Amino acid sequence: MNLRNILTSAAFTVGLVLNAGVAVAHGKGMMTMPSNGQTVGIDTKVMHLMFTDPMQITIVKMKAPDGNTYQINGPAANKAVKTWEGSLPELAPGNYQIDWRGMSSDGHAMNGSFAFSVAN
Amino acid sequence: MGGVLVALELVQIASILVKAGMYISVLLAAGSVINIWLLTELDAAASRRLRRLAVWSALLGVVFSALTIPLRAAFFYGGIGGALDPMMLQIALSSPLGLSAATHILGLLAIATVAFNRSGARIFAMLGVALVAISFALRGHATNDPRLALSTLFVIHILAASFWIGGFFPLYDMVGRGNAAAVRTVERFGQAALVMVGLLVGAGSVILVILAGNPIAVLTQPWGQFLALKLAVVALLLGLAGLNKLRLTPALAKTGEGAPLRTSIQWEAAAFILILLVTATFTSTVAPEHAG
Repeated sequence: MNLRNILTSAAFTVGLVLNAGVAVAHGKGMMTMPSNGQTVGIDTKVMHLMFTDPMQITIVKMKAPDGNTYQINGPAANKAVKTWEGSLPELAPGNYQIDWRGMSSDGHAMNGSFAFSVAN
Repeated sequence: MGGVLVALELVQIASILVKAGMYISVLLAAGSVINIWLLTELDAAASRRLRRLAVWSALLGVVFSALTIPLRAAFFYGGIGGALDPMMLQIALSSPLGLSAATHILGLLAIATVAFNRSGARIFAMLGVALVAISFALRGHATNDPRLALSTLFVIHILAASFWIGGFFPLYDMVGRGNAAAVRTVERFGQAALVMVGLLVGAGSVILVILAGNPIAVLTQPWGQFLALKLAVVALLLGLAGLNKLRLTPALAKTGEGAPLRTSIQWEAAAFILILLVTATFTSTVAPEHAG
């Protein structure tokens, strides 16, 4: 058996083995406000991401019910914070999804997402 | 575990492939230098080819290490545009990953001097090997507490893995000769492997206990499942190494017939690449939650 066959079969085996399993949520040990699944009022002006260890939040995006994605501004991306506060735009009733990215203090790339609803 | 992979986006897939390429090229560069120093009975042709492999894998390692930075910036930004975003690039560069990549590149450039077949260059290249091994301790879980213990264990783990992956090519090359020097080369590598593989597995086991607490409990987490997959391939690799040492090397010594041993070395190399691919995947996507 030549090396190319070996590598092809190895890659194929990895593909097979990796096709079964469970999902992961990277970046546990955190809380958010609004929390995942919570319904808040249309007067909500800020959101918080709270971590047990300082985290540099590099980007926070919000998918709104109007189909647009908004970037939420907060502390600078190069600043490590335990509590990240972002200013929300005017919220219309509907479902929102937040996706955040960042880096933990040990240099790991982190990301997470959560959803909340807005009602009158 | 499958869910982790399904949820991957393009930037993450590119990051995993670049990381795997970095692991392979960097460990191969360092390991080639270790084996130039260890395998004193390589003939001129094999020695020249091994030096060339060290240089090319070092240069490839520089490219892969450098690519990790814009890819990390793209992840931070949530899209490929981040690869050129000054703020995201600055965050990636000033992170432990940036320091690690810079140290990698320095070490690899020192390794590339092995192109000059001089004793001074070899000493310089060995310093490069040390830098490369240390650079792995500057990022990720090696920076967690207890930092000194974890860093030391990671350096041992990396050096032992480098020694092993760096042995495949010169052994394959020499075994083709089927002469007495080939047999002595394989036996010398085998003696060193007893110590190095022990260090590799021992250091890896202690790292696992420190990071995960209860190694059985982490099997319920994706991180633990990836690790279990990695260890399954490691077991296969150890089996092949045992077969080489106990059966195929004595057969080479008796008959001069190197074909079975060469095939086994090819399989070992493939298993090693698979291990590094799995390692790159789980160190890029999931983290252990301490259980115990």
